[in-house]
Amino acid sequence: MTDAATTPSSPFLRLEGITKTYGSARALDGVSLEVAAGEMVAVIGRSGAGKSTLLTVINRLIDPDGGSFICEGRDVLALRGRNLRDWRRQCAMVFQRFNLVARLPVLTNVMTGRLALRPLIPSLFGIFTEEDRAAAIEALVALDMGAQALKRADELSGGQQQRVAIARAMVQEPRIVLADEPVASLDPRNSEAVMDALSKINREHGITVLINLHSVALARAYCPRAVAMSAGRVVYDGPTDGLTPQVLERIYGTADLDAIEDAA
Amino acid sequence: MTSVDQVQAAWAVQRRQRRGQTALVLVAMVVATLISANLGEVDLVRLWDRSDRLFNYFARMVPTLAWETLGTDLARWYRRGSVWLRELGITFLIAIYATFFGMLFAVLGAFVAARPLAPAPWACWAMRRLFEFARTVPELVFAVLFVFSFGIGPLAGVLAIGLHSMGALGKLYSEVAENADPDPVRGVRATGASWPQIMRYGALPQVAPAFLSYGLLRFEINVRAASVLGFVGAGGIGQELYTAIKSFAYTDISAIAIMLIVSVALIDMISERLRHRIIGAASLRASA
Repeated sequence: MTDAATTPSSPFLRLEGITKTYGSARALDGVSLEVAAGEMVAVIGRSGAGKSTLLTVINRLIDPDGGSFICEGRDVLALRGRNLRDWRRQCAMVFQRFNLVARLPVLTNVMTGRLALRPLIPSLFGIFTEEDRAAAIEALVALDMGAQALKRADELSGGQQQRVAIARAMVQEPRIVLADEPVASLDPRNSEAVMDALSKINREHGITVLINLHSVALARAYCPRAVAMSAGRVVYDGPTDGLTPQVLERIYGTADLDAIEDAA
Repeated sequence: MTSVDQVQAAWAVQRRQRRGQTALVLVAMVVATLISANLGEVDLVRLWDRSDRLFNYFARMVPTLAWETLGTDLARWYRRGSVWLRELGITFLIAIYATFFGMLFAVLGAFVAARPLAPAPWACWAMRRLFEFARTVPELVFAVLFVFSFGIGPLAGVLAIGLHSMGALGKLYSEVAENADPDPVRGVRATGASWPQIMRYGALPQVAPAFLSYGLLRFEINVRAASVLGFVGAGGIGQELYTAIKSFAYTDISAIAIMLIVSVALIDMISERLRHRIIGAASLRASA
């Protein structure tokens, strides 16, 4: 799709016919998706629908078997080495289980977000620049986590750890934030704090945000647009307001919201 | 439905089979022992007949110590004490340097040799073979080789024990690294960090306490290994011990042996405390 890439009106991200197979299971079965810069998109669907695989393909943690993926005219799937690492830096990930390094201090965990920007040898000796530290502290304070900066990551609660993970994502100076079920392990109060933080990133920094959510209610509350997946395919792509009972029935096999939460 | 009788019958059959297997294994073991004793010239009669010579040897090693002249007797027993102390110090230094270098290269190689972390399958395979080679060849063989190439002295000992330690620790370390939680590794990888950075920040902090603990354990082993390396000219107290044995200086043998036993026991005690502190702290934090 190189002709589309050269058109000025082409979207920020364009995925076409992305497939990924694990053994005999099709995780992604021809996913096509366009995302404009600065959008906040919820990706919903049952667990196993391919939501996580989609986000990890966008970050290039895993490579798809087929399809094309263009970002601003660049073939993302062709990136290698330094360019690939820089792509990952631009697509910060936030995980369901936070994926922090438990034994490292919060501040160091956040500064690992700068590793792709720094030369290898000093970073291996644990040397970060003043600027890195300043950026990390600033990101933590912005998320109301300044007081925890010197604690070990495993001393924090789940909600606090997820905010640290968001701070790590922010110091990467990303253009996209990919959040994979960021609130699935959190209680409602912490869920709200984390969703507010992601929403703020989107509004104030103009960062494109893709969030996998199992909660339709959260998707409606925070994201104007929803992409619904089922069995590795996109089955709905439109405004979250358009998630009528009929549409939900098609995505989940039921329109009962409580049943949807249980299934996801 | 299975009746009680059927279960009883099945149990009886199973017991018969198990007993048959056990008897077979026992017979095979006895036969194998007899064959290997014959081939290996293990002669129990000879062992019994000559056992007095062993006690004789030990008896000759006991120095003559009288209460009235204890001071001078002890001084005579340990007349070369200062030399032995210096050689004992060199033995420890050999063990320390060898453990340090062995740990250093084992840490660097362990992440390459750990399957889920390895940068490439061929590198993982090659590193595993290297570790295998380094730990399969005994320290004494390496020592002979290095004495031949670099001359008599502690350098050969450091290289020999260091190389063997790298192999032994590399295996343990890579197994520890394989069991590391993949989530933090994935988290750091997703930031765009390069492979060495991912290992340094995602994996190393998780495995550091275990690495340190195994390293200390290896240090205990290396002190013992270093004390015999002198037999082949690779430095340390072993050289003195070997000379004493060769020249039938029985009381010198006991004097050196006592110094060795006491110091090795001390090192073991200290290192065990350190290890428990490291592991204890790590597990406490993990459960917190």
